[in-house]
Amino acid sequence: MGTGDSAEPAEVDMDRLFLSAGEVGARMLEVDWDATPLGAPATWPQSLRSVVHVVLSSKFSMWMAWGSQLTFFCNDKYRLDTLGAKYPWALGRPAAEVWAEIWDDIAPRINSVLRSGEATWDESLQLFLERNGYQEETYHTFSYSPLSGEDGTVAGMLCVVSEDTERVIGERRLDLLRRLGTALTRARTEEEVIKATRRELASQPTVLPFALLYAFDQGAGRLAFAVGADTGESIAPQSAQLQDGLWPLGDLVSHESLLVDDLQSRFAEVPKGAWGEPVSSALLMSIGTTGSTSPYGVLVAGLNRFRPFDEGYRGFLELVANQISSSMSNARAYDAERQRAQDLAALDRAKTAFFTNVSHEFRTPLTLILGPVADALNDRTDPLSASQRVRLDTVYQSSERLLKLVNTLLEFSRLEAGKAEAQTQITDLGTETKVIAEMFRSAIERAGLRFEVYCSPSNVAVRVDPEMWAKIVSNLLSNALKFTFEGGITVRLVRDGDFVELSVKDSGIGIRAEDQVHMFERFHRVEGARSRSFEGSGIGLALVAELIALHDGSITAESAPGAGTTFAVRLAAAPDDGINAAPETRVGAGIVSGYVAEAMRWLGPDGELVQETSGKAPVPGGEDLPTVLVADDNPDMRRYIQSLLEERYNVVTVADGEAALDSVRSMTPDIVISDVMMPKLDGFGLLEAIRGDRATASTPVILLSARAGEESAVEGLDAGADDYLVKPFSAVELLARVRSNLELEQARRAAARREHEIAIELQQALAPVPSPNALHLEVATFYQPGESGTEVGGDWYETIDLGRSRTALVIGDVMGKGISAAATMGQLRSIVRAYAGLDMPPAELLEAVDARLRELGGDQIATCVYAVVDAPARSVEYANAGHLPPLVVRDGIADRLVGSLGPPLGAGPVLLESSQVTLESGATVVLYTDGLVETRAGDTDARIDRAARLASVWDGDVDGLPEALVSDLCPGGAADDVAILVARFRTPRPASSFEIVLGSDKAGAATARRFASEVAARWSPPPAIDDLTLLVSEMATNAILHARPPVTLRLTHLDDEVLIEISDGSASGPTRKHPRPYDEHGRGLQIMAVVARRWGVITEGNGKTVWATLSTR
Amino acid sequence: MPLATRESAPHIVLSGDLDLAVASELRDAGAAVAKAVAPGRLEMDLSDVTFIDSSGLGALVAVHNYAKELGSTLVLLRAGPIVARFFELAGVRDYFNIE
Repeated sequence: MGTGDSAEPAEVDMDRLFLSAGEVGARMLEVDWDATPLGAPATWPQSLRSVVHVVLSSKFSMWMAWGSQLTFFCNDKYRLDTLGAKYPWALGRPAAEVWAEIWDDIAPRINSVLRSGEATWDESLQLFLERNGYQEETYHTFSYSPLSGEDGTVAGMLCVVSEDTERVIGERRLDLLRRLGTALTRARTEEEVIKATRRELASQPTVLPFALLYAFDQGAGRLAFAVGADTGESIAPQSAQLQDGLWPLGDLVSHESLLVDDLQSRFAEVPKGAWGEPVSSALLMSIGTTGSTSPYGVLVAGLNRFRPFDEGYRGFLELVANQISSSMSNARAYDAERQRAQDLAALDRAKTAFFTNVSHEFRTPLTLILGPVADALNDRTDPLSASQRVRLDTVYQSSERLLKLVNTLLEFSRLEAGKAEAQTQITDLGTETKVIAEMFRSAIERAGLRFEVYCSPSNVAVRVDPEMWAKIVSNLLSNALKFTFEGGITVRLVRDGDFVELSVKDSGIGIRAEDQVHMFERFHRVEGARSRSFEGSGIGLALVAELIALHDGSITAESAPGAGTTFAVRLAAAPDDGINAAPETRVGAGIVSGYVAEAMRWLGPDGELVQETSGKAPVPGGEDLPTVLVADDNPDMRRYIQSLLEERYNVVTVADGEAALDSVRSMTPDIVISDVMMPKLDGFGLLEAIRGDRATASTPVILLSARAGEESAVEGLDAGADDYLVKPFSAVELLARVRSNLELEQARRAAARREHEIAIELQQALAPVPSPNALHLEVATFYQPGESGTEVGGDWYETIDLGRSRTALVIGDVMGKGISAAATMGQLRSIVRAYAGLDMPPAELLEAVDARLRELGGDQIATCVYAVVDAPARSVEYANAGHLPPLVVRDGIADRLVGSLGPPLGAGPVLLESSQVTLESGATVVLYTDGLVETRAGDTDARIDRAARLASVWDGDVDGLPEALVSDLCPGGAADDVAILVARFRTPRPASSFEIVLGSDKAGAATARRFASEVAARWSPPPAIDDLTLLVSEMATNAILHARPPVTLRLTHLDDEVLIEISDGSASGPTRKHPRPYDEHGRGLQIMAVVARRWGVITEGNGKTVWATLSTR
Repeated sequence: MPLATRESAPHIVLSGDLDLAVASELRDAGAAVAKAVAPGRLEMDLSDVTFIDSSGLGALVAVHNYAKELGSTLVLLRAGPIVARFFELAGVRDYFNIE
């Protein structure tokens, strides 16, 4: 570029322009302009240059075409927004090539511009561009305007364009969402949701070519609606499998959404929606139900194939799905609620219908009761006797109450059926209310409560049905009295503008908030509320509410527990056009008196619900009469039973289970009669408490119940009642039951006393006798009766001398306690002894004993161990019938003798085998019964081990071992009897034996003494000589005086003892006497027993040996 | 069994073993003296007794009883340890008058 004063206009330097035009400019530089009709940029006419300059430097999206081929130019904005993948190819190409796909659309417009020189204008024109390799739905707003060449003719066209695609599509989506949202807010039920959704989803077929909703129904998908497709078409089956179906519905249980993009290969026919081409993909979305883990179903949304499935598209569809989800949840909840309400209403209707039917059935017989009874009570020509009058009074009152209840229920059902109408008249409500209220005064004041009635002067005119009004006021007052125990009740009727308000306020127990919600519902009773009467079906307040509603009035309650309750009834006041001259109060009076009479009955003679005692003067000898405690919450029932019983018994009455329990504990009545349904503690609870306390457990209890049927009686008896009476019962029946139960109880007590006495005697008679010692066995025994009761148990033990240095050890336990067990034990001992005398082996002996035991009958079972210690054989042979294993301690090691364990005796034929173990000198056998080792903790085995351990380390005399075992194992005493037999085996050392034959003269004693001294002197350690000589002297003296010669004295040195034996030829042994001090004779054995450590007599054939031992320690 | 008597208050001294061999003799002699002094006091000195068993005891008891019947009193004197122990075993210590 020169700076010469050229007359040519400044030319645009194309190169520089291109260079400064950013990316596009750079590309334009690269275009082969010579191949185009325009030629090189340097040859371009000024007009073209200017236009290109304008286009390239504009930030607004533009393209232009120039020349015969309409060569294409565009700027950076255009290439970014619109050109897409065609850039940079499009630069310098003929426009018809560049936009071939829409040339049909735009050519006419361009041609018109070129021809007419007039610009075109299109707004949001739909054009299907293929700028990104696929057909894309786009919207553009653009203007084609003419470009003039050098000669002023139209040489080209300019397009200024802005793309509206996002906006257009966005608007459509938003529209659908808005319509859907709006429609769904109005949809309540599931059906409505589906209908609304179907309608709205169809509104934008370009955005949503088709949509299907499948609901999960019993393991399959059920088509709820199809939009843009026909139900039953291949793409929209009515019912679809969840798994392996054409739609993968099952996968949506665990995924939020799923894209299926091969629709044309999946399905035979695919809808096209608003387009000409079938849809190729669909998005499946889970339609959930909030608060539930299982989804409602699946929404299948066909996708517009001409739009990319970008985040915006996905977001939109998710919004749709969410809206449907939340609506569906609400609909489901609503449906459930509605169903519930329907169910409740049906239940209500059923109850009322039931009552109605029953009520009608009741009225007839009731009328037939009330009529004749009233006649009888009022009969003057043939009047009733006093006692009959009392009875019929009770009948009349109870029947009246029953009738009232029936009538209330009937009224309800009439209201329900819409048949009741209020027969209203203008009434002076002030006076009317006052009259009604005053009828309650005596009852309220008798209950010790204040009563205030404030009814405005007679200018409160209201249109009411007087009968209904009477019921309303009576019900409210009746309730107030029922639930108020101190303070007072206030009734107020005031005018409040156009309304009249009745308030009944009490200082009673109040109503909890939870109960207030249900207060006016039928059949609602407050559980556990303290009140004067627990009768009532819970219908009163509901009736009041309905009656008030009939008058277009309202009732509210204000209450808090402990703070009293105020009921407020509001009615519209009647226009002041005069009150009925004579308000009919008499119609209401009959109704009111019924309520009052009932209230009176709740109150005892002094107005308090006290423990009613027999009103009669004490009957002479009355203290001896049995005391009957009557518990029932119905005062009439209490009075009735009392009147039946008070001639023969002391009757005490209480009104609830707790009071009954207190009375049982404090005065121990002889018999209790109790209702089952009572407040605070019901009949069964009372029974449980009585039976659970040892002091009262044996009290006879008769339960009264209104529930008939065998099951209730069995239930009552199972629970421990002695008898069960169903109401109504006759006087005769009640009296008979009371008498028989009392007599039974008395007989039981007498029998128990007698048995107790017999048992004590028997126990003493059967107490185990200390056993004689056997030479080769040191025996120690122990018996301790169990602590549980003084019933004698069945434990016994025995040692039996079998001769020839053999001793039988027996221990046994008869199961059970009391007389029969003790008697069986005695019999068993005899049987065992008898068989022992025959010297039977242990197993055979026990088998024989078993047979005899079974023959005795009486189903007695006994366990027994029979063990024979054979000294010469140094063994013990034993058999065990069901008893605990004996222990044997040898060399400091304790073992259980577990051989030969068989079943107990008496249970069936017993087959046993004997077992045998060897004994060394010093071996100890321990027999014991279960009282030693069995406890509730069930650790018998461990305890046996413990006993064994103790025995194994015992190194003292056997005498102390049983007690040591008991104090270790049962330190606090044992519940059961404990019997222990311990035997220690001893063998002599024959080598240390010395013998002498004594003469039968009196000098023999001295001879014996001398001999003994000499022998003893040789032993070491030596025994106590004085004791030895004394002992020997006594034994020798005895033998000389009483025995048959020859008399042999033998002295043997054992391990720790000296054994003195005197044998003679007579079989009759010395019997130990108990000489008194003044007795001259008979002392010998006494001395012997005192001095000797052990002593005994062994009989053999035709002779005997008297033996004694002395300790050498 | 040597028996020494003092005439003033009959005082019998027993010695040796009081057993079966001498029991009846002791009883008879004692009874005779008891009868002779009745009513009165009869003393038996036991200091020399070397042994006593139930036979001997029986004899003493017999004399004691007999004396009592006659209104006499048998008094036992100076019982040594052997005798004392024996009386203890036999439970007769409180029965006799022992000085």
